[in-house]
Amino acid sequence: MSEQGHAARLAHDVGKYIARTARNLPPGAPLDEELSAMLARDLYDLDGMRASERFARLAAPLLRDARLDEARALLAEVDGLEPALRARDPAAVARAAAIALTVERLLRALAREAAP
Amino acid sequence: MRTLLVIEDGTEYREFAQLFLGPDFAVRSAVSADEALAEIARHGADALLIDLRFDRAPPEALTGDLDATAKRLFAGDRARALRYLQDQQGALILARLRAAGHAQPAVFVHDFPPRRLDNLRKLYGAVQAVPSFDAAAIRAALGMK
Repeated sequence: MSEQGHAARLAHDVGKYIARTARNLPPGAPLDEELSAMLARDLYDLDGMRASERFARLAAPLLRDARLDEARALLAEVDGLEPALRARDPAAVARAAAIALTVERLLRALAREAAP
Repeated sequence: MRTLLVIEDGTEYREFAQLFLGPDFAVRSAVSADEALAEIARHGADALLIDLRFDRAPPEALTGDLDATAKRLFAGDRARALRYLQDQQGALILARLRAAGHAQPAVFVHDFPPRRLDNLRKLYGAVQAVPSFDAAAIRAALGMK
């Protein structure tokens, strides 16, 4: 697969899905059980693996890029937030949601740049 | 209430639609073109929300002739042809629905380059795309508030 194909797949398989719930969270409202479970699936069970693991697999063939390094570090931070997020701690939820949107933006920018 | 038919090879779109679009639509789902056609025949559909990539669908469930695609586009390479059919499956399903006379507005959650989106519209009429799972943008694309 080409660099363009790898970047597009990374943006789709990680970027798009990691932000699925995060982008639509009701501002300021506490997270109910259903939303919390869906957010946790986006972050820790993306088609059977953590977003950070999926990212690592899909980013491996790509050329070095600062945005990939940033996304990798942010996803590691998300992994560290898991216990608090599953406990629906508002600060952890807010931070994880913000990270999800940032990672989506970074990966989409990378994919757009790689496109012909 | 309007009916939204979600077409995907997983459950992510349906979960999203039920949770974030549910107040506006009755959500139904299909995993292939055949299922989508059957759903529309049974229950109708006012709008379509379609995934583009179908990586998890079994090859035999995909729309498109693998051998013919391999021969026509990839010098006989079936692996590349399968990847192509998976990567473009949502558009291929939409083509089948349009060929069967179903002209409902269709929305893809995909960051299409503008020229690709223009081409989809030329081929398939009412097609919208939003780059992310954004419930407000999808509602707007479907003509809802």
